[in-house]
Amino acid sequence: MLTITKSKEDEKLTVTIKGQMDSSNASMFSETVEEDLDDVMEIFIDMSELEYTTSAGLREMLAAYQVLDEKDGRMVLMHPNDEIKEVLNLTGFVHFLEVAD
Amino acid sequence: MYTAILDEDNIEEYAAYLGEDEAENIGRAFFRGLVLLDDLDEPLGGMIWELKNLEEGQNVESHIHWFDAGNEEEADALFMRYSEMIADDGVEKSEVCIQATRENSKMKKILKQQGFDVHLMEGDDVAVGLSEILNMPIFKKSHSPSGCIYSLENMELRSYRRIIAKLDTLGQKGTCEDLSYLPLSYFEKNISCYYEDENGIQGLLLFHRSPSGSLYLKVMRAVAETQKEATMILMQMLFYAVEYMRENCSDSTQIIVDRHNDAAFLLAEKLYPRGFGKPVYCGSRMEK
Repeated sequence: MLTITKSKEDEKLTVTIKGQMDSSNASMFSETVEEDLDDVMEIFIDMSELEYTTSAGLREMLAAYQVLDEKDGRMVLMHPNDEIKEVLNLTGFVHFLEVAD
Repeated sequence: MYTAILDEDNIEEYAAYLGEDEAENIGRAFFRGLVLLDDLDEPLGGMIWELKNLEEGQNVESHIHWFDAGNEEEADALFMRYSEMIADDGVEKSEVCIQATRENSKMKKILKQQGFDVHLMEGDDVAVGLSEILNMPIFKKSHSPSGCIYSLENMELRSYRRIIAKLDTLGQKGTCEDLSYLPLSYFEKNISCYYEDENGIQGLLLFHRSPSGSLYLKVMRAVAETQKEATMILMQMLFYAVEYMRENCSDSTQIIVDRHNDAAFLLAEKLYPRGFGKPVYCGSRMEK
């Protein structure tokens, strides 16, 4: 079960993901953010209630960041749990995205 | 400032700057490198690239693995020398693929100024921790070693050269363009293994341990009459390698698989569906 909500303030989009993200539901992320990608420079993703993500979830986040990267935007991954932190480390996400505890 | 060609004589001076994992490639048959130095001989920038199809003499490409420059002027100096060197090698196209980091996002702009169409994308290298491999259903239980699997340490040099020559002839070099030039000692000798039966050596699984400690899967090949037999040989070699790692390697050991072609991609997806290629900045430009 996955729920994704968002709030936008000026050029900052905050996305909250709750539950488990996998190939069956990861597209919900892009469906949620795509209408705002052209207007925002920052995306903050609240992962405090994200239990688990597969590579499908990472691909969705990377796709959104690709748009931000072209205009020197910023993505911050907030409060990932230890398992997700390990995945972010192994995949190198920590080297180019900001991770905030 | 001036450029200097990197070679086995001077690489130690710049290994710390380049990073040991990149520096160790200097000296391999198709790797080239440059460093840009200031008047005090301190590095300002550098690049390392690998030539593809050089021996074939057609469609020669240069793949830039590592690049650093502080500004456009330094990049110009590096690429001017680079262009001279690749012209001598007959390079038709340059590709660049560097790890996506916050520092390298600056490189993206610099590379675009040099004519590369650079974009962020998912890379081919998938890293998986040994602890995660040991938790996979297929590897969770220990497997008794097949009587036909031997560690690379047991392989005679003559047998190594013969099997490498065979793979080279078949165009099956794994991730190593220079496979036929690499010494036996390049490969980790206990985790790497081979399958040998009454028909000779039928399978080869080669890992390279980088200076930073990661294990890179370089060659994974089985030769058999049927696909089913080949798959059996591959799995037995994998079981052997995982068993050795289970007993002798730290859980935090990283194993890196390069999904460099369709077969490697499918295998990685099958073995590790959660795998995600380390993001990279990639681009290309034509040289001729």
